[in-house]
Amino acid sequence: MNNPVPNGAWFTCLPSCETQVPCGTGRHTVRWEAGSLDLPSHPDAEGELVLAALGGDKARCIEVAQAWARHVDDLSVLAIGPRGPADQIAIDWDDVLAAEQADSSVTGPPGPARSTPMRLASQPGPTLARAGARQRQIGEERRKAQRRRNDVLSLLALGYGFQVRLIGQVAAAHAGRDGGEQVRPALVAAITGRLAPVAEEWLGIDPDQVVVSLHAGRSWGSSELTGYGADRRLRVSLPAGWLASVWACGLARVGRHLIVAVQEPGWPTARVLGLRAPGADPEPLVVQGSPGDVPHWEAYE
Amino acid sequence: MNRERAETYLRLLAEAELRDPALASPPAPGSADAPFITAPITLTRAAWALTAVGALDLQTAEAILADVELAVATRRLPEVAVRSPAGPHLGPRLGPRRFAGGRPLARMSHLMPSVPAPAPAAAAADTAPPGGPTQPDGPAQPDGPGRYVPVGQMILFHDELISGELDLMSYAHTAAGARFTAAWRTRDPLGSRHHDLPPVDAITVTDDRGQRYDLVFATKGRPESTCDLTLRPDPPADIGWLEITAPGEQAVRVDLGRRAERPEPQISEINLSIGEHLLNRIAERLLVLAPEYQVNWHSPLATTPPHRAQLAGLVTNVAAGLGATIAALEAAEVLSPRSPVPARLAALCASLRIDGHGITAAPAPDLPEPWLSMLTHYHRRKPETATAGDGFAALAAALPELEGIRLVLLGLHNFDGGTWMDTLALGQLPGVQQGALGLDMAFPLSMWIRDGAGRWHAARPAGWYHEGGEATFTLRLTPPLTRSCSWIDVLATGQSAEVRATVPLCWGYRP
Repeated sequence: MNNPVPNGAWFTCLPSCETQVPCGTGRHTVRWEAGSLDLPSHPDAEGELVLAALGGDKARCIEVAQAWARHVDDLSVLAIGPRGPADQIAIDWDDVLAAEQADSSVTGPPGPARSTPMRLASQPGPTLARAGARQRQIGEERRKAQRRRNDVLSLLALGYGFQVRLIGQVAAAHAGRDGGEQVRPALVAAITGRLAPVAEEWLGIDPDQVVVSLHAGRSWGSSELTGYGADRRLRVSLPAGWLASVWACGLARVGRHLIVAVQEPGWPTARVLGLRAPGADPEPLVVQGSPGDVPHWEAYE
Repeated sequence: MNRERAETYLRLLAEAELRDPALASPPAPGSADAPFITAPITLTRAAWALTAVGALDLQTAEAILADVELAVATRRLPEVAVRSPAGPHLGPRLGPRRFAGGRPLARMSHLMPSVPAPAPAAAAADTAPPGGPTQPDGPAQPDGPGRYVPVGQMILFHDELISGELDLMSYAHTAAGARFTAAWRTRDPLGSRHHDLPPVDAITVTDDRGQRYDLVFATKGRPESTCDLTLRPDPPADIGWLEITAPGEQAVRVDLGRRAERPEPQISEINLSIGEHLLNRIAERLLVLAPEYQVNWHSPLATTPPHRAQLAGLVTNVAAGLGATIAALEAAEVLSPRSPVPARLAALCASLRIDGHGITAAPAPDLPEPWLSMLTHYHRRKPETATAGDGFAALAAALPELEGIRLVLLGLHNFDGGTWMDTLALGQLPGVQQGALGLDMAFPLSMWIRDGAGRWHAARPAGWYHEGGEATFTLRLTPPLTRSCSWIDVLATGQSAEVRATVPLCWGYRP
């Protein structure tokens, strides 16, 4: 039986979460709530951005919010971010600062553009011009790579609660689009990487034996267990939205059930569809969450 | 070819590798990659193979590897990372190293061929004799160059400071100009060998119409023992002979009307997938490396002396990740699951005592004849067999076009224990040569030489020189020739066809 799954905000099953970020001389709160990042210590973030554009310092909190906005549909977040609570990412703000300092020692501090061109004994030839253009291109690529990496490190430094919420955001962004073959490989890998450890806990199956395909359609998907021994495979077809509405909300496994869809999202109570065994029809369950970075859920009897 | 499956395979391989708890451990102190965190080798090999066959674009492959490197780095615990032999003064974090500082993360572009050079073949092809490649080394055509003549003459020279010889192996006249391909050697007045260049400025060259030419000496990136002697100005296409007078010697007349007597090359269609072609080339690389590093394959690697074990490491490094490479090619549907090549590779690795390759196919009971010939050579402890003495053979043979490249063999010589075949390539030539694993990705052919005794020798490019839309290079034969046979069989294999040509050799010997 394939129960239709309702549309709805993917984060309805997630409570808000917050963390402290070193900003200026102190530490400020950064909060995630209902799919948005909130900076209570910077009520006029727009104004601060204008000042920063005029040469003032940009607050770390604002840099983090900008990084978040830049990566809400970045598939690399799925490739780098955590696969589950046991997958510990060891990044804190010291690491972020160290990486930024390493960059400035390599590329040097940004300075004003040279106003007077250097005089050359002769006009540069086309070869020299090409070499200069290539050098500038390499420098630009390096700066982009450094900024991207520092963005990701900052977002990871926010902690596990924010990491999974960003993963949910990215998955939800792509679940609503038909990205075709450009995004399917990344989504299949992202679901596999997160479903495999859950399936190991659920069935005791080797994570390498979990095979995921991307499900398209209104139903939740499908599952089956095939083969024996080394040929044993758990084949699961799930939509990209599973990563957001189920996994990121901490619902992937509740008791002895693998949760495959959320029927009635809510916090702290929700109604979900759970599989007791591969190939079985999913059962509706009412679940109750207890607070945490990512909530822990128990099924109502 | 299935590009989506190729990318999916690589990303799933990355997921599997990231589940490996060993990734959270730091590199061994002092190991080559200790300063940086890199993607697992199975992943980089699979990525390289998929890009090499065109199933994955470089940008995507680099992005995947960069994400994996960052994922690995962020999971490496800082308290583990600080355990450095340099001591605790480094501080509690290893940020700059952990995140590679300003180093660009995974880059594969330097391992791949660049955009092909402009095709030079048009001029040569346009002027090729009627019948095209079947009579490529005939006399010059009236409407342009494309002339290859075996020579086999020694030009001696001597004055009060230097003596020596130029061993002319062939004359070639193409769109890029006319030149002799020659081996050379110089000696000082006491007879000791030294490295001064031959006095080409003092050599006079005159054609059958009385026109005089200068000779321009250039090694063009090849081994020191070989050179091109280019004629300036460019001579007419149909000259009959050239008379060469070197200091202290009589004039020597070089007959350019001579034709190579040889059977026509045989072209046959084959049907290798691009994945099989790549695996075959990896196998040839393994076969070539084994004697190069003189590894004693008869004793287990663990018991070999340290320097030999280190050299063997280069061989095992080529084999590392082969299982993932094969699986990646299968996922991309450029290698059939029923292909015999993976089983042959497994048999080759077993024969060379290489472990850790990850190939799941059972070793094949039979191997291609050239592979077997080389393996037999090693296993009979033949690598140290004395090679043929220094010498050169006149040779001029143009092979039919394969994979967009037309090869012209212009000489063969033994020097310092090695055997080299001087070659010209015309056609679609990529500009960058070295690929991963030391594979020359610019050279899309598999080349084998069978000597008169029936032994096979792998022929791989060693140094290229691009000029005027042509590429001059030498093929190094492994193992070297052990005797001066009177003919060789050349087997050139592309993806869709192979060429077999029997080429007579006319040897000249040094005094």
